[in-house]
Amino acid sequence: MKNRREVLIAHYSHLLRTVATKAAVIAMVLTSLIIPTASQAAGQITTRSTLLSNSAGGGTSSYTATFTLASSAQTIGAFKLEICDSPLSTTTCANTGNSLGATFTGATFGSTTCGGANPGSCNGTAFAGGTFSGNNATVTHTAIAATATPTVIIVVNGVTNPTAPNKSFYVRISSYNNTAATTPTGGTDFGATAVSTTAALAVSANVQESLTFCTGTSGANCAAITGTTVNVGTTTDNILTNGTPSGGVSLMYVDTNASSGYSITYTTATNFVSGANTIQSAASQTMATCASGAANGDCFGVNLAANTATGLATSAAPTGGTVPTVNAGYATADSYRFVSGSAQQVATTTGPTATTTIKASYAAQAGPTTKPGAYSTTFTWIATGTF
Amino acid sequence: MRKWTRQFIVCVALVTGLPNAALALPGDPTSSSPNFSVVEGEIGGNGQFISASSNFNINPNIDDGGSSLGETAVGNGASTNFQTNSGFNTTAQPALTFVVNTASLNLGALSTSAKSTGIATFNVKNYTSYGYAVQIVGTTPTYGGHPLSALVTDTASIAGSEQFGVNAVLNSTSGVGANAVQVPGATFSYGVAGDGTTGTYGTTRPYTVAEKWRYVSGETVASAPVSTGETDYTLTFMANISALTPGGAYTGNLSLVATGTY
Repeated sequence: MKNRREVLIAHYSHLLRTVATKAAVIAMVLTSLIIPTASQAAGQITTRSTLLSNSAGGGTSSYTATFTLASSAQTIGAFKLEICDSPLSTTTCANTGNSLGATFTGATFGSTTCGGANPGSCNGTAFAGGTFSGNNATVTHTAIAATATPTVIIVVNGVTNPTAPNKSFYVRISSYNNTAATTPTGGTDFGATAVSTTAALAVSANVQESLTFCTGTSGANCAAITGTTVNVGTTTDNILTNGTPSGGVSLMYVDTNASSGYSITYTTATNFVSGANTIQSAASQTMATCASGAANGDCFGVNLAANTATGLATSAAPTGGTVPTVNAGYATADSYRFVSGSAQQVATTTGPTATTTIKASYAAQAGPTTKPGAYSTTFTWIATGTF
Repeated sequence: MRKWTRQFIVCVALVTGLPNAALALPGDPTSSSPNFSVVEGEIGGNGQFISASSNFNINPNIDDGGSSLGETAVGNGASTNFQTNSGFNTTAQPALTFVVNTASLNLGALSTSAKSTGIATFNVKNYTSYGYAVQIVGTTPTYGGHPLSALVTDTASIAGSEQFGVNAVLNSTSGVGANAVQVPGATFSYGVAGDGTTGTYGTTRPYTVAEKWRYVSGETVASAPVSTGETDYTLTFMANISALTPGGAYTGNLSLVATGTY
């Protein structure tokens, strides 16, 4: 048995619930009538993507939008691309968030093709350009009716990406009947793609300048090379013969990554001498020619060629890597040259080279009046890279 | 009155129990017994398995001008022509999250006797899509007009030979790199190293062969065939030089570009 208070509470509670329910229903009906509905595109573009050639924040990129139209046989007057913070067609395209800084201003038309399974009549190069400003790009075409639902590829070059790296933003894609891209409102077909900026990845590395150069008389490479003396005479006594040249060979190995190559020079402090006695230096000539003009009928010289004199059987022109250019006077077989007292360049390259083997041939002959003695000189070979 | 009281007590019990149930798990909320398991289980209509009790965060996605509760990864079922994303009140808007964590990478002083390596990491998350592809774009490090020679096929390191390449897998022998990591787990994320969508290359598809490197600008180094949660990738860059490689400071700007298909 309820008392009066409980009865009143139950009555007014029921009354309040009834009023509230009716008010809610009325509000819902009114709301559906009052709130405007934004225009929606008729079709959802499918298989859509936007490829950026450069995703760096603030970078300049080509945008390639690829998509398949949804509405069959629609009239195409323009396609519009919009860079926005939101993908939703019902939301105003803004650039205050992740897409801040993005703009089509300064962009240029790349291409537009209609293809795929239904290329239709929108195929071809009739899409010759458009307008590119702010957050939207409109590629126009004299309005034509497409066949079925073609796949469309739009390329716009020189688009400025959103400024910040690693930010997602959206490219909206719409098709329109007219070239002004206004009809129908919201576009015939619509679809959005999500893309993202990234931080550019700077990859760096250092390559040290390199020049490997060694000299000796035997050994297959710089690691194995030995020897510091070359005898130019014959027999174990190292005898120079009157009127007959003889010689010996030294080795050099060189490689470098110098972008402008290397040069090889030699210096000697003295001529080929024994005390105060000197053997004539060759001047780009054969031993015989040199000796014939010498006071004592003798001669000494060097070259980088393949020679025939006794002791020079192993002589050879440079081999391996990038073969250097041998200077005049040192390049001809059996022809020699020797200048003491200053650096003399004998070979050069113009670029980097793998290991090159260079053989220096030293040749001499005595003359009728050559003074007896132990003749010698010391060569210092120098390789200089130009990096 | 007594009935209301009982209902209130039950509700309080449920609410107070939440922090110790699904909401307390920051990652993959899996409930399991020896014979059964429920993954991505939720209590309530939230659907955000990253929500936590002490810093509880219902983070509605803006969708159709309003608010709705969405997920960052959903169950996906697909056939050749159709796919569906199942879950709580999932958002309809496409999403692509792509973060490159490494801004610069210095391979140091290159040598003719041993390779130099370095890593860069990035992660991708993509939603309501038919997958994504991440391409690497740009020229190899260059000095004085000389770019380091790119390996155009998957090739092993050869000391003394000029080489530049990248791969996206763990190189156990060299002790560098890492395989793709699914976050929070393979139940939710499906990204793979290399171009996994074509199936052309099988297990030897480019950029996925350990101890082999390759670099062709524009090629795909990572991909996913379907809508996916986060996948973390590690790229390993490798360089060798020859005796002819010109000396100098080599630099190059590479871009990673993620493209989702929706």
